[in-house]
Amino acid sequence: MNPLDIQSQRDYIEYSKQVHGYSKAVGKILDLSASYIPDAEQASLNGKKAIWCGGYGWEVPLVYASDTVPVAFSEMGRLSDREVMLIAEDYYQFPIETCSMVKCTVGQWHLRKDKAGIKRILGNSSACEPYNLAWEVMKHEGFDVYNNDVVYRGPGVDGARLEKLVDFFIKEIHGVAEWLTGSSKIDEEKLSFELKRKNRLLDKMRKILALRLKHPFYVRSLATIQMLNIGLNNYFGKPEEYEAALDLLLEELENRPVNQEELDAAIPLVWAGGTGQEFGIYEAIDQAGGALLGLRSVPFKSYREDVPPVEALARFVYDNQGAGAGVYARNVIELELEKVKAKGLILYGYIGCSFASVDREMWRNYFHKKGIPSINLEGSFQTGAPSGQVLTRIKAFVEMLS
Amino acid sequence: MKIRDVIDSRRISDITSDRVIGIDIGSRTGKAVLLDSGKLYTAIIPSGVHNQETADKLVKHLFKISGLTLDDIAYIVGTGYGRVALEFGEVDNKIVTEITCHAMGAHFLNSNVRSIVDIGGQDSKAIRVDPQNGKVVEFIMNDKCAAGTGRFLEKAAHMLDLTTEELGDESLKATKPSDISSQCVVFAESEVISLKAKNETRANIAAGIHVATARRVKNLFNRLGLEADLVFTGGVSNNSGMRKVLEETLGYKISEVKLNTIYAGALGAAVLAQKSLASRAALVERETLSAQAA
Repeated sequence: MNPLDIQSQRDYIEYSKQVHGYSKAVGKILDLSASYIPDAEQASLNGKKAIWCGGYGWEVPLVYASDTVPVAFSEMGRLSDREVMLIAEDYYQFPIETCSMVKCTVGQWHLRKDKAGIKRILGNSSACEPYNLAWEVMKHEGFDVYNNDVVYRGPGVDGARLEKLVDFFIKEIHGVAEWLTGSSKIDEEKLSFELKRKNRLLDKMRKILALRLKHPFYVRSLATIQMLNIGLNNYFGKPEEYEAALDLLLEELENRPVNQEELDAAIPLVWAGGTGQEFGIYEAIDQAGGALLGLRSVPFKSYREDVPPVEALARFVYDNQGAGAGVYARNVIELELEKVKAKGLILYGYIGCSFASVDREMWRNYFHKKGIPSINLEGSFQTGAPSGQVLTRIKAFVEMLS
Repeated sequence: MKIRDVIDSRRISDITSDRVIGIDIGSRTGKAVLLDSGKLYTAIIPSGVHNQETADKLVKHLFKISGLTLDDIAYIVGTGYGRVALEFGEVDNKIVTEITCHAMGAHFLNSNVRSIVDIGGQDSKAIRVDPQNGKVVEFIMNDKCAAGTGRFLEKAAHMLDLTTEELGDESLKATKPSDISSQCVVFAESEVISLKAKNETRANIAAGIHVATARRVKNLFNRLGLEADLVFTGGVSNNSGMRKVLEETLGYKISEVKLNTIYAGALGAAVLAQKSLASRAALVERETLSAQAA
């Protein structure tokens, strides 16, 4: 496939597989990514319990421990249906400036509302106003929607105040469990198993990311994002297969001799932001010689195994880069910049996401003062190739750093 | 023309004898520059539907005026909006963004340049340049919509029954530029129609359009920081009204250079073509030396 012939997100995944023809592991990860939503929907039709959810963070171990497949609704974007944005804007009258991810998701749910399949949606936090709106709309469309709440940890919140947050969130977790299984009682043995699995996978990913510093182009940008930002979160609905793919990748990387020429040519970059569906952005980074070696979503901390598993879920939220204030993530980004000796920082968010745009601006100013070049990109969930201007920005940014 | 007549004298020694071409396919016009043993040739045509066809026509024109053929060319660099799909047969080539090329081109026209305004057909850019080497230090693009771009001015000219070339000169006759508040091409059209209905003069409306565009550019520099020397490149750089209003709005004089800065991107591309050849030669030399040492 010629990159100029790429028309959809699925094409990008297929093209990425072609580029990674040398790696069975990366091919497997990309296959898992491509089949995630269709296979989960088919499993649901076959009687397997599955829910739509964010598909990341604390909720994933709990959902798996409840014998349910977590299906990340943001991943519906890659199904390459150009109609979904129009459904959100014209049918549901979402304002055009609404987050493109939410519009895409709403359009996709609309296409499924009258069909058999996954009919339950777990929200996580009411902080995102566009998603709140989407969930309210979907309730009226017949979906069973549950939205738990999360209290964010402000900078400096510690001691008794933090313990209150943890207690509050533990109650919320039990509320989610009740919605998932009909009982607020959580099977701690199953949850501990899932936390151990998660920690094991986090460790493996840390090793892979460390090995990528020696092999910067072995796993290219799109595959890296798929493996880390999606796969590590929800295992593409297939935990055992995902782990096997990581094991294979570790083996491939460990047995590969270091290519000094490749190392010298790489322009180490840190990616701070979500995943989006404009996969052409990742391709542009690769073509310009950039290597996404550091990521904001890097496995920063593990789930604690010295406390009861439900408490471990709650503490993971408040101890991590997603605890709520931009400064937590900024600290992780700073560590990543140092670790990979990054030449630049890519700040990426979705068009219409006011949360992310504020964070990005704060981070940009902070790192600008430290002399670290950055570029602020806004991506869309609209399918197809990204605009020429977005590609120009990325390529010019990497050229500037080379 | 002779290279020494247009290139900054401090950069002349950086130009090699390699015959190279830089091609800049913009959204409105295609430009090309050929460097050949002390001479510089230029070509410009409207961008057609097919970028390759535009590039081929530019090259053909360059060969006609220089007497060279493709076999004489050592390297080609393609840039601009239409760079993506360019092919140059057997000639070594690469694709570089217009941001990098405009910076390098401006640097070779005035090696003191630190800031560039590039207003092209579909976007505008503010670029900061390292005067030591012509490399981009930072850049920012306005591509949210056609406002603040050449397309905006083109549309405005059409509404005022002027050609794009006439729009700038007309604006210089203004006594009091109209206040164009909207920065959206579609809404600005409504504003211009309202102003025409109020019998506002064409000159004042034209000047208002330029002021609105310049305000947009100023915001780019407010974020990036602006330092002299300032060079204005891109298709709109030939618009005298835009130059005047940019100088007033930014509070900086735009540097005069000896080549039409619409060619800055193509010139930068040609310079980068020579640099690519030089890097390759240096690499071959290093490899030969290390092979000999081994």
